[in-house]
Amino acid sequence: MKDRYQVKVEQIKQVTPQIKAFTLSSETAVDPFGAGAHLTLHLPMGDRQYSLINNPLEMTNDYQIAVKKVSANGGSHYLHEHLEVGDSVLVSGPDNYFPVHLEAQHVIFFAAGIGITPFLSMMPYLSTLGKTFELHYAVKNVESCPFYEELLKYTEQVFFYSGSREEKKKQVREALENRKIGTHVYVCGPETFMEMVVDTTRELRFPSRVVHEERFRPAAKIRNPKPFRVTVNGGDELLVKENESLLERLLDEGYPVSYACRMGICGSCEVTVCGGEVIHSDTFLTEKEKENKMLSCVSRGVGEIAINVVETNSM
Amino acid sequence: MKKALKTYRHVLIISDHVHRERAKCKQRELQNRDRFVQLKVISQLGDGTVEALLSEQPIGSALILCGEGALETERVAVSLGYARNDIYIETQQQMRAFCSQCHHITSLVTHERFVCENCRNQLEPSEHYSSYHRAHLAYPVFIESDD
Amino acid sequence: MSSKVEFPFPFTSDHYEYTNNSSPLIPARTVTVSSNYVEEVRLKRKLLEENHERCYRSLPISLESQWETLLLVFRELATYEPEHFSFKRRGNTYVFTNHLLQEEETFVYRDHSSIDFEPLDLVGRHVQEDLIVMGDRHDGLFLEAGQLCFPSNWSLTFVLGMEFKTIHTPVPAIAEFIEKVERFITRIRPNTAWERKNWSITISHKLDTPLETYSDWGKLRYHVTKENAGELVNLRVEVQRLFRLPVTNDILFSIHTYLLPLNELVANDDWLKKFYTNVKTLPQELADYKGISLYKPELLGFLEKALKRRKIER
Ligand code: HEM
Ligand code: FES
Ligand SMILES: [Zn+2]
Repeated sequence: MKDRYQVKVEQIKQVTPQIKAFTLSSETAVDPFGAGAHLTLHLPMGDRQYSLINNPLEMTNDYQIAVKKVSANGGSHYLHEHLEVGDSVLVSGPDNYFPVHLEAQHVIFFAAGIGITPFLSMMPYLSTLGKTFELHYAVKNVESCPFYEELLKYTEQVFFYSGSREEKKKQVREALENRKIGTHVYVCGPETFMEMVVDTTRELRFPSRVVHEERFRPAAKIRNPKPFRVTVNGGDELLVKENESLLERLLDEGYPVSYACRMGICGSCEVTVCGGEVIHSDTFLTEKEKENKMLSCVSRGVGEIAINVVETNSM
Repeated sequence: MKKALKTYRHVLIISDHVHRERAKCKQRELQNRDRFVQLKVISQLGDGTVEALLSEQPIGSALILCGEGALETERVAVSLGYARNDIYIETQQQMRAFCSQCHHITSLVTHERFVCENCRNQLEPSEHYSSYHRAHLAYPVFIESDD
Repeated sequence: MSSKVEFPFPFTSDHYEYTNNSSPLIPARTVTVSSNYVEEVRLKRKLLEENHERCYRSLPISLESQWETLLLVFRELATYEPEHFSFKRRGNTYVFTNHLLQEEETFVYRDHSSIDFEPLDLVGRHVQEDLIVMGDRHDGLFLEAGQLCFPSNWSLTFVLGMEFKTIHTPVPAIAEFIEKVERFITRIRPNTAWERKNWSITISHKLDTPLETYSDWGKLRYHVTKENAGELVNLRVEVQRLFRLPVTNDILFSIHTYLLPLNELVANDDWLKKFYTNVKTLPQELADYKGISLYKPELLGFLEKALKRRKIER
C-alpha cells in the first residue's frame, strides 16, 4: 500500500444531480486493488475515503470513485465544485476493509443510497468470476437513484426498495429468508440501515462470519501527543516527551522491549498496564487485552501511568 | 471452536448403510420441537451423489457424516460453502496416521510405533493433526546403526 | 556477488527466542534474485520434474490468487531487475522474458488453456523462492496452494488445506504466540510486504530437505564432529515474506532459503560470536525441535576452537 502520491483527474462524469464520478490516473503504474477497496484522498479539509467503483480485473491504470455532495463545506463539496480535469490530487492506498470472500457460493448485497459504491466494483468482479449475486437497493426514487443506468445491466439481479421503513424491513426479511448454505451477505449504507439488515440476519441465524459490514478501520493517529509520566516495574520513573514514544523511552533506558513494526500492527512491543489511563492507537489488541496491555510504539498514557516490562518480552 | 450440536436449528446427517443404526440413534438424540434433523442414508459416502442435497441445506445448518469416505464428502461440503466448524464426522475408525515418507494413511489401534503398510518405514505417530486429511502425521523412527 | 556478502545473517542479539520479528519491507517485494539464481532455479525445476506431487500442491479455490501471484511476481521481476527480466502486455496477452535463462512465457491472463502448468507452478519456476498461498477464508487462514522445493523438514502434502495455527503444532511452546501472529497477518494491508528471518541448521549443503526424504538426509546429523563441522554444517536462513494480494485478499508467503557453511561464517568475528552465544543459550526444546541436540557438543566445540583461534573472548 503506497503512502501519499499524486494522481491526475482524467475524467469527471455527472452521475445524478448530486453525484459525480471521477477517474483518477497516473503516469506510473498504479497498484491493483480488490473489489470493495477504497482510496484515501488528502484534501485541504482533511482525509476522505471513497470506494473504488471499477472492476478490479479490468482496471487499466486508473481509479474511479463516486462522490455524493453532502454538505456545503466538506470534502464532497470541494470535489464537486473545485476539482477539474487535469488537476492533481494527493492520495494514499488503495486499502480494503470490505473484501469479497471467494468461497461464497452466492452473494446478497444490501445497499442504501450512496452505500452502493463498494458494490459497483463487486458486481462486475463476481460476474467476471462467474459467481451469482443479487443486489437489494434502498433508494428514495428508483429512476433517479445513483447509477441507475449502470444497474440496468443486472435487471434480473437488482431489487429496488423505495417504501417506508416498515416496508423496507419486511422486504429485507423476505430477501433473507430460506437462504442456502454458502450464502454471504454484504451491507453498506447509513448506520440504521446496516443495523436493520444485520439484526435480521441474526434473527434468521446466519453465522456472523458470512455477514460482512465494513470491518475494522485503522486506529486514528494521536493528534497533539502530550508528555506523560511512567512508573516501570514499580520502580523507575520516566518522562515520555511529546515528540517520542514510550517504546523509544524504554529502549533508551535499557529495557529489553522487543519491537518490529513501530506502527501498532505487529504486537511485539506490548507492555502490561497496571495503572492509569491509556489512549490506544494500535490496530492489534483486542478490547479485552486493552484492559491491561498497551503497545508502546504508538499508544500513550494520560498524565501518569504505571507499567510492567517483563525481562524477556517474547509474545 | 466447535459449537454444541444442540445450538443448530437444522442438522443434516448423511450415513452409509453400515452406520445407519448409529446415525438413526444420533437423529433421535438430536431431534426435538425446535430442531429439524434430516437423515439421508446412501450406499457409500463420497460417491458424489450428495452434492445437490448438500447445497440445498439452509444457511447456518450443521452436517454430520457417518461412515467411510466422510472425508471426501466433507471436502465437497467445504467447497459448497460450509464452514469447517459446522461439519462433524462420526466413525468407528481408529486413529489415522499419515506417513510422512510416502503419504499413505494407515488406520491404527494405538498411538504406538508402527510400520507403514505401503513403504515399510518404521513410523511414530505425533500430535500434529490435519483436519483436512483427518489424520496425524507420523514421523520416521531413526535406527542409529543404519548407515 | 559472493554468497557471503548477500547472506542474511539472522541474529541481532546474543540469545534466541520466538518473537514476531516481522518488519515492513519498502518497497514491497516478494522475491530476490541472488547470485545463485541459475543454479537454484535449475535445481527447483529438476525437483519439480522428479517429484511433482511432493513439490507442488493446490486446491481449486486458489486459482484466482495463483493468477494474481503470477502477474505480481513477473511484474516485480521486470520492475526491479530490468536487466534480467522483461514483461510486456498486448491486450490481454502477456509476454514475460527471462534473459538469465533465455526463456519466454506467453499467456492470456486468467486463461488456463494458455499455460502448461498451474499459474503458481509456472511463476515459481522463475524464482528461487518457495511460494505458498494462504487463503483468507471466513472461517480462518488456510494453506491452499504451494510450490515447495526447499522445505526445512516439513511436508507440503500434509499441510495442504490446513489452518495457519495448526500448521505450527510441532513448534515447541508456540500456541499463544502463533495466535497473535495470525492476528497480525489478518491486519496486513493490501500491496504491503513484511519480512522476517527464520534460522535452522542443515548438515551438508543441501537446500531440498523435505520431511519425505528425512531418512536420507537426517542421518547425516550423526556424522558431525568437531573436525568436520566447518565443512559439513551450514547455517540455514529462510527469508520469509508475507504479502497481501490486493485482488483476492489472500496472503502470498514466500521463502528464500540461504545456506552458509560454518567455515565461511567463522571468518566474520561478529557472526561467529553471535552464532556461538545463540547456539549455546538455545533452550533445550528449541534445540531438539531444530534437530541440533544430536550434535550440539561437537558444534560448540568447533565454534570454541574458532573463537580461540581468532582470539575472541566468549
Ligand atoms: C503465513 C504463512 C506461514 C506458513 C505457511 C508457515 C508454515 C510453517 C511451517 C510448515 C513450519 C514448520 C512446522 C513443522 O515443523 O512441521 C513453521 C515453523 C515456524 N513458523 Fe511458520 N509459517 C508461516 C508464517 C509464520 C509467521 C508469520 C511466523 C512468525 C511471525 C511464523 C513462525 C514460525 C516459527 C517460530 C516456526 C518454528 C521455526 C524453527 O524454530 O525453525 N510462521 N511455519
Ligand atoms: S512494534 Fe509492532 S506493534 Fe509496536
Ligand atoms: Zn509410508
